[in-house]
Parts: sequence; structure tokens; C-alpha cells
Amino acid sequence: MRFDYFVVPFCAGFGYLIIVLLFTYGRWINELGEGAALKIFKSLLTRKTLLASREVFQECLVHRKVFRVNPLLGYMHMSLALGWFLLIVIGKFEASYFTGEFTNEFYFPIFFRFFELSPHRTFTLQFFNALMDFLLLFILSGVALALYKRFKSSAMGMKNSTKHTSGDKWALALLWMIFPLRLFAESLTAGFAGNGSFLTQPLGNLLGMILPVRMLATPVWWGYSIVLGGFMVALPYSRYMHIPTEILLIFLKNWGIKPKDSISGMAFFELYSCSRCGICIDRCQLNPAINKKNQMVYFLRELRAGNEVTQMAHNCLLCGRCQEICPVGIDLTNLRTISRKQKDNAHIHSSSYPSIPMHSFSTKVLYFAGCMGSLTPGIRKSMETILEVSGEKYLFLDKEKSYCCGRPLKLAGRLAEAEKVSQNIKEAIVSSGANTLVTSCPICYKSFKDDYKCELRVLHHSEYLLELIQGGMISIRSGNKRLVYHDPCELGRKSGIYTQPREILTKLGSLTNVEEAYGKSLCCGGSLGHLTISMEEREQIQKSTAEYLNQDNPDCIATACPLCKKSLTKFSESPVKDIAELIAENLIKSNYKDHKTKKSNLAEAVRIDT
Amino acid sequence: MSEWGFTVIQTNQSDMDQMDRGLIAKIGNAEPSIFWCIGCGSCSATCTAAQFNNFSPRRIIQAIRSGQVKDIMGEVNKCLLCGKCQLVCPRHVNTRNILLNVKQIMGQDAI
Repeated sequence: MRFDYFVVPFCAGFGYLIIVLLFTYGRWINELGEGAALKIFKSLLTRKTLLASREVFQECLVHRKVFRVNPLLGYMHMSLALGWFLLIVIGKFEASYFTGEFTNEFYFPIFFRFFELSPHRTFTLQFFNALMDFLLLFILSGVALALYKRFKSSAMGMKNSTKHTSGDKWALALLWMIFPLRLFAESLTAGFAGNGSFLTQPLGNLLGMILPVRMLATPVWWGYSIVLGGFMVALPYSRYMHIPTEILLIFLKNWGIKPKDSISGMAFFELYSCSRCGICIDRCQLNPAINKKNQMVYFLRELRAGNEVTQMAHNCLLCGRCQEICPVGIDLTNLRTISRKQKDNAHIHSSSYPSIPMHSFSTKVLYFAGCMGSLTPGIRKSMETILEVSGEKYLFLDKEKSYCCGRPLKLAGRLAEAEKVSQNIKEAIVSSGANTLVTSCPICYKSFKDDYKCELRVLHHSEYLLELIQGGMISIRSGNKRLVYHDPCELGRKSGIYTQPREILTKLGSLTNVEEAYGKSLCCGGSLGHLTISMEEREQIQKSTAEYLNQDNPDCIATACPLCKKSLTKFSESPVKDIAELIAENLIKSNYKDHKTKKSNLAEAVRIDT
Repeated sequence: MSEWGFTVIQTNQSDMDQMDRGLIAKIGNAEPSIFWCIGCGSCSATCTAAQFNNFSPRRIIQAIRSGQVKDIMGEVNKCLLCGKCQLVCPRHVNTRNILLNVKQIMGQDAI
């Protein structure tokens, strides 16, 4: 057996890490809830596992999403993750090839050059040796970049980087020390034994000229082992817990496990997967000077530490820009929302959400303007005009009085109350017998689509209007206005509707693109998700977003959300219009009369029937 | 007097002895914009919940400010937090946060 006392710190650290991880993950998996085990078991041997493995390779090792943020930043992460991974795997192969058997002492491949002193002669071993040196160089380049980033993060596309706690800084120091120590340990050994390759051998020879390498080698190997062991002991308590947790998170996500509405089980996997890279900081539109250390990275850190986070949880627009860029893909806005959950016993008074009076006639299409739709009469009226012209029979669900869909309560963390409020609207929708529900408000849309779980088509009006145009129900004049489209948070990032509004707009005029569009789209500042923000700060955001959209002096800014329209109109130089309004303006009403006569005929026929 | 078609209207003066300054102190701290309210009633006019009952954000703000907080809890529970009040407020009062704070403070007291 190959053994030296210096391997003890490494073995102790490794053993400790394994025990802690098993214990922690065991507890969280236990908290996943009923049905989770069955779900995992069912999807274990399906394509989902393969997809998850691919994602683990792409995200945990290659860091594809970080590359998209900045190539240099991506390279830095990849060199450390992929480089270290390959160093371990190829080191194992090298050791196995050398001994001729697959199993050997688990620390042997890591300290291979210490135990195997003879200069390698066969070609294969020389190749392995060179490969290992190359990988070490690859990692060291990443460490050098990481060091550089500490002083100048802007060089890697990050204006602000995370301010770490002292614990994290210690863990970081340990991580950085691992690889230079390995380089020196191997070089010193190569200095007297000649078992190095293109990197370690020349360095070893050089060191041999000025230092007593034979005497220094063992202490440096001791240092390498202690640092490795120390890092593994620090790992579960530092941000490096993300290394093992992220892998598990990706598998669990692909197997269809969803976080519950409390901080337990899956939420812990998400919390501990945060690597505190700080990419989310620059994306936050809340003023960094005022909202110091309130961005997601800090919020998750406080949440993980078990501190009081109510204040922090409320101080967020819930626009989802951070979630869109998060390289780990954590459901960040959900974590904020469920942290807002209140334990008090306040309930919504039942008189606030009376049941909706239903008309007896059945229609295929329901239209729901929503609270915000009611506050923007332009959108409502445009929709009425369009629907009238199209000849579609529809029921305007909240024409007389507006009803709340319940999402504002949900965003405020009052899930049970939101559920209650939504019940009556749900009943009205189901009992109407319609097969399509059209809404003008992306907030209602999100809530109808994801929370109500009704068995009918839920469409945002931009989707529905596109259907009407494509189906030839309405026709529009195309103009040559220069338009810019603003993606509403709830419609774009939260519901994934990006193309339909754009398709309509290209029919209406020429659509110019701005850089911050699609998932990167700015928040208009009117977000219902933030309850405590002052009007001054809100206006700052509204102003900067309006200015940004006006940068190319478009003839009109188009959006698809009443709230965005209201927020942007305040500060925009060019007019801000909803898609429905733009269509209503450019509607060709030549067929309108035909429809009208048809409709009255139909009504007459119905009357005769009854 | 009823023969004349008139009734005596109930007094709406504040009883200074009944004043409870506790709530306004807490809320004024958490959401100072409560002091900017001019009582115009735009919030109550646009309120979603008020279409169906006698809920009035304006009345609640006035009640908190004048320390008449006895029946407020039952009232705030009628709020749906939809945020329309805030959009129409000419004084930029964060009405939603005021009501949320009342819910939180009174809710905690209830426990």
C-alpha cells in the first residue's frame, strides 16, 4: 500500500464532506413532499435523465450561460470547473493505467507524482503526463483571471460584483491556493525525480538550481493536502456548496419536481445552488445606491443563513430580469414571493369578491379587461371595436364592474387569500361554457393560465388578435410608422409571449429593435410586485425605461400591458400605445356592415327559435 | 322633526379621548406617504372592492390619521391589493403599502 502521513488531512476533509452532504441532501429529499419519490422513480429511466445529464455538462462544467454573459467570464468559470473535473478523471485513468488495475487507494491519483517517482518512459505515460500538465495550466489561467477579476470586474462585463462575507473569502482563498500548491509540489518533486512534463519539469529544474528541492517537496505536498482538505470542510458552509447542489438541482428540475410554497425541500436545493456569482446585481433596476445589498444574491444569502428577510423580500419589483440571466436557472422570483408569505390570520372579506352575474346566452369567447384594463379605457374600447368588427360573438365578463384576478394578493405573499378571490371568477369562467378566454392584462393572463387551471384556451389579446388577423376575421392597413415594442414582464419573461405581438407590429409598420428586448426587456417601473417602493423611485425607473425606448425616436412605442402603457406614457416623448389600440386605429371596416346585418339576422333567428 | 322630511345627521367629530396614536406612529414610520393624503377620494372612486361593498381607502386613511382605529381591521380585510388606488392618486400616496401595513400590524396584534 502506498501511504504517507501527509494524505491524512485530505482524507479527513473528504470523509467529512461526504458525511455532511449525505446528511443534508437526505434531509432535503425527505422534505420534497409526497409524490416526489414516485415522480423521480417514474422518470429515472426516461429521456429526462439524459437531458439533465446534458444540461449538467453544459451548465456545471462548460458554463454556457456564463459565456453568453461575457466570454472571458465564461472561460474563467469553465477553466476552473471543466479543468478540475478533467484533472480528477484523467488523473484516475493515468493512475489506473500505471498500476494496471482500476481500483487503487482513492487518494493515489491525486498525489500520483509524489508516489510515482520514476521518470516515465512509455509513450502513453508521457502523453498522460503532458495532458495533466496542460490541464493544470488551463486551471491556473482561470485562477489568474479570477484574481484579475477581484481588482477589475468590469473587464469581464460586470459593473458590480458580489461583496462576499469573510467566510466566503476564506473558502475562496483556499480554492485559489489549491492549484499553485499542486504546481509547486509537482515541480519540486520533478526537480529531483525528473517525473514532470512540459510545465512542471522546467519549473522543477529551475527551482532545483536555487532551492533544496528534495527537502522542500514533502512540506509542500503537506500544504497541498491541508488546503484540499480545508476546502472540502469549508465547502458545505460557503458558496461552494453550489458545486454539488447544482448537479442535483438540475436532475430534480428535469424530473419535474417543483418548489412548494414554503422554504423547504426543493427551495433548499435552489438556495444552496446559488454560486453568488453576482451576475444578477447588474440586472436589477432598483437604484443600487438606495437598495444596497438587496439584490437576489444577497437575498438568497440571508435566506440561506436563516435571517429575517421580510423587509428584503418585499423590496423587489419581481420583474424577473435576474432570473432570466441566472446561470444556475434558479426560480428566483418564486423564492422572493414565498418569502413574503405571512403568518397572520387576516382574511379577505367575502363581500369584496362577489360572484359574477352570468348571462344566460352561451358564447365561445370571453373577454376580460382586468382591473388595469379598466383603468385604460383606450384599450378596452379598442378591443370592443375590434371584436365588434370581427363579428365574433363574445361576452365582456367585467364590463360593468371590474373583478380582481387575485394575482396582486399572490404577489404580496397572500396565497390563501388569492386562492379565495380567484374562486368566483373561476366558477364564472367554467360555467360560461366558453372555450376561449381573452384578457388584456398580462397580470390576469399569467394568473388565468398558470393558477386557475381551467380547461379552456387562455389567450392574451395579442395572441387572439393575431389569430383574428391570420384567420381573415379582421384586416388592417399597413403603415410605415417606425415602432418599438416594449415587452411587459408578466407577458414576456413570466409567460413566454414574445413573437405574437411582434408579428402583429410588423404588419402595422416597421419594427425597430432595441438591445434590451425579449428576456432582457426593462421593467416599466409600474410593477405590482413591489409594495413598498416610493413613488419617487418608481418614477426614476419609469423615466429611465421611457428614455431608453425613445433612444431611436420611434413614431410610437407599442406595448401589450395596460400598466406598462400607464407607466411609460408619463415620461415618453413619443406616444405609447397598446397593440389593441394600434390595430383599432388601422382597422379596415369595409366588411363591418355585412357582419352587422348578419348579426341582426342571427339574433332574429335566435329570437324566433325561442 | 321627521315630519319636515329632515333627520338629525350623526356627528362626525373625532373624540379626542378615544384617539389611538399607536397605529399612525407605526404606519407613518413604515410608509410616510400617508401624511401626504389630501382626502380627495380618487382611491375610493376607482377601488375594485368598493364596487361591491362600502370599503373606502380614503376613509381608512382618515381614520388612521385621526386615531379612530377601532373598526379598521374588519375594513382593511376588504382590500384586494390590486393597486388601482395608487395609480390614480394625485399625491403619490402608497395606499397599498399603508393597507398592507395595517394588515400586518393588526394581524400580529390579533395573534
